[in-house]
Amino acid sequence: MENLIYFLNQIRNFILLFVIIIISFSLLILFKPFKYIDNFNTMIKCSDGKEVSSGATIVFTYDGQLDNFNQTKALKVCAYDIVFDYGNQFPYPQNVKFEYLIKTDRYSSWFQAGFVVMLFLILILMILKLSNIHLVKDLYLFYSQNKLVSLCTIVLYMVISLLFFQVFFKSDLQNIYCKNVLQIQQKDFKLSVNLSGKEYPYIEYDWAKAQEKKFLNKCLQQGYVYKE
Amino acid sequence: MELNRIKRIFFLKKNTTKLNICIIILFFTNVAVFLYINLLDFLNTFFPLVAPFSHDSNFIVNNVLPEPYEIPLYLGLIFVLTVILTMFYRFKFTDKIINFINGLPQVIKIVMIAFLVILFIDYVGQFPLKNEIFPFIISREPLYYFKNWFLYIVFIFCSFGGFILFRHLSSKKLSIKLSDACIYIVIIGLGFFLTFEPQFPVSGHDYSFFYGPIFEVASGKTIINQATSQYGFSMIVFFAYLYKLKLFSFITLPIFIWFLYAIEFFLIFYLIYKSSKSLIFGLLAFFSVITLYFFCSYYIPFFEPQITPLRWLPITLFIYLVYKRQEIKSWTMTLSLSVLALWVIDIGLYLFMIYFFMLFILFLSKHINLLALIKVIVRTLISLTLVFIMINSIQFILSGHLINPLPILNKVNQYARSGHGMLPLESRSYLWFIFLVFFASLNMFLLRIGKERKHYWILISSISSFISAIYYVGRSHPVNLFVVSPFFIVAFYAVLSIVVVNLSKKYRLLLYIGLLFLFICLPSFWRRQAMGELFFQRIQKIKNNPFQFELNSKLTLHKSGVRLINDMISDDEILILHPDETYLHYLLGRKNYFNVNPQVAVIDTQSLIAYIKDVNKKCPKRIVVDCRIAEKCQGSNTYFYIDDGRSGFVQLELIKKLNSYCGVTYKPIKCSGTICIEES
Repeated sequence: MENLIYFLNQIRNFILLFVIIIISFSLLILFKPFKYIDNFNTMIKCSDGKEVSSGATIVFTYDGQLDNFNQTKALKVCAYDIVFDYGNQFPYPQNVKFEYLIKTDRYSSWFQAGFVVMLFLILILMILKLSNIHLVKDLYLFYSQNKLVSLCTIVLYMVISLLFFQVFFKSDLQNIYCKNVLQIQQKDFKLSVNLSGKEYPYIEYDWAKAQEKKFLNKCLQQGYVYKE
Repeated sequence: MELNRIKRIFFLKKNTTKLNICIIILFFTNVAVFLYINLLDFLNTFFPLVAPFSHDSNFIVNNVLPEPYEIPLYLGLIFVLTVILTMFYRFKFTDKIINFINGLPQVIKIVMIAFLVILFIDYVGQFPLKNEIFPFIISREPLYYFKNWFLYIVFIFCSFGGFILFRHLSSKKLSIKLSDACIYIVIIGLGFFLTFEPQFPVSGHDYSFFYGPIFEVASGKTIINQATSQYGFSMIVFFAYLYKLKLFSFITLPIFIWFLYAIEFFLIFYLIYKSSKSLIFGLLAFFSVITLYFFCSYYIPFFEPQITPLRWLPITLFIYLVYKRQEIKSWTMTLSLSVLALWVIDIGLYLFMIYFFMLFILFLSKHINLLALIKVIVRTLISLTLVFIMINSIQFILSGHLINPLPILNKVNQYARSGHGMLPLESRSYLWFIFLVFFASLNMFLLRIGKERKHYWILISSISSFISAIYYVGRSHPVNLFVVSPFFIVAFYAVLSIVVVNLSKKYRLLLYIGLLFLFICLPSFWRRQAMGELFFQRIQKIKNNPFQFELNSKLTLHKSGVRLINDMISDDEILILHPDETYLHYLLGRKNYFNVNPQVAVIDTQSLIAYIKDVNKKCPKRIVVDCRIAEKCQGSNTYFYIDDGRSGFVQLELIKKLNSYCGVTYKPIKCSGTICIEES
């Protein structure tokens, strides 16, 4: 009977360990740091030497490549010192060039990701303690019975958990991660305009939303939206 | 032998209470920051509320994207974490945590502390507006800014030296009270000297939110009912009364603000000096607040009264009162709270939040029982009613009407719903220092040391720091961190004052040097460009008649316009649709046709219609309008406005509504400068 209880306890512990490993890796993926374009500090350097913030001139991009809509805005800033020309009152400028000097900012860090996992582990250990489940103690006992065999079992177990994670969870988590990347970049669009003393135009809000799908796909396929 | 020693140091298990408390404080702070940043992102991503708010056609100010979650989450999260932490202490769970940490080898504790500190620094990011010159345009030689910064630091060192020398010399000849009195006088003088802004520059836009209601109430209207006020309440009635007695003019306000600056900085010095019993510590707090709050900001601090002590001083005064009386439940305290809270509307809200949050913590930590809590709440409500009746009596003497208290929060409500002026919060921000100080003081309070009444003010100051930061959370421009910094500085030094009393001389000196470096030298160095420009402008103005008031010069520019109005319109009551209508009413001394002054305070269509309909009078034959409305602006020489934030948008909406309300069309007949006369 005692053996049966011991055996059931071990199974329970391994299921718990499996769940803990999967969730810990999920959290690491979700809080993985990434770089995004800091539009307030990113500059547009015109061919006449003038330098303006891309936030103040409302010239935006998710991936560092300006589309036609934003390229025109940058050219008009250089040619006519004009922003918000959404009605195209000024003609498309000819013979004007500019450089797009990107500055980046960072979202999260491995320290922060580690802290999240730590928080999760503390929470789990507290719940287990309140439920009278001595996971750490049991695992230690298991380990001390036959160190080599148990160590191999645990390592093998972790590898299986990771494979399981890779097959069943990673794509969903990547989706959430990518949505977050886009959301953080959109937040920066607005912030950079506001910090320049202007209000974020709806037309830009709509543009940012319309681009979401394209860059979500890019992020899902390549794992990033912007790369230096 | 050495190996054993190292082993002993790293793997020794010893009782380190201070280290354990630090771990708990840092842990809670990091948890709070982590939860706040991520819950905010989560809510904004998965439950965006932008469309229903920002597309509300009632708001005539367009292009605002509010952050509906920022402030509720900020308050809610800290409230929940406060409850958890207080419960931990109440049910002795923290003892278990401390015992657990005590059982860990020293090396683990050090690693934990290091990890939590690095994590916190990672969350905090870069110093606000570091090395930025904005909004100044001209960039001088880097050496100019460095010299300027160096002189400022030398001045501070000399001040420290002077005070220490005086204390040393006076200790033999003067009594401590007399010596203190001399120091207080010098501190107040220093406050006046450092905050003196030649020519008293004013932002026409920002000041009109104060001048407008003061003028309206002084001219016989009732505050709130007939004179909308965005900020002030009893302050407006008070100044209106002085105005009526001819003891107040528009010039008086910046001078009054100058006095308030000196008072605020002195109070901060006094609080820290008295609580820490250290002159140097008090001076450090004094210069820290001057550096961060006054010189690091990029506004000329006098420029916008909403960021000055005119608005914020009640909170500092309340902290001071708690320090002096060492209790918060008496009639004196509830009455004082009510008087202070009714000075400015939104700061009043902050004060009540601070007060009730404090009471709640006292209740949770079993410091007061439920009956006492209810008694205090009832006492506060009675006090508030009494003070309100008193203000109402003064208002009744002025206008013959009583104030309707119901619409008092209308402006706060409108701004909250429209999200007007809000900015998104950066995830890496110095705001998190406020969390750190809050949890530090809460922990200290919940430990036995804090339960003494003399430490009440420390918790109140950190709650004040936390609540006043709502201003930054809502409008998250980095410069607003400097605006709310005085309360953080008070709270920070207040927490440290407990520690500093028990420190040995050697460690005290180290702490002083550290604080001097972190709170004065480093911030002023990072903001040396903006400070340099500020000093440069000051020197120019001092050379060029420092007591020639800037507002006076601005007002004279409307001289021809005012003459035109006097020639063309003789009515006692006048309708002006001009961004500078506050100043024109002041110059003309005639009553306002509308129940709103300044008109720029109107941000929604409903109020706009109400202001026209409420007037319920015969439509005037002639009105005064902005030349842009009349389409008669005549070039840059005459194109002048005192209101530096003008949009002219409200006036355009108002003329449309007025035309349809009166059933006529007003046509321009004569103009001067930006002022035109129109006739129906």
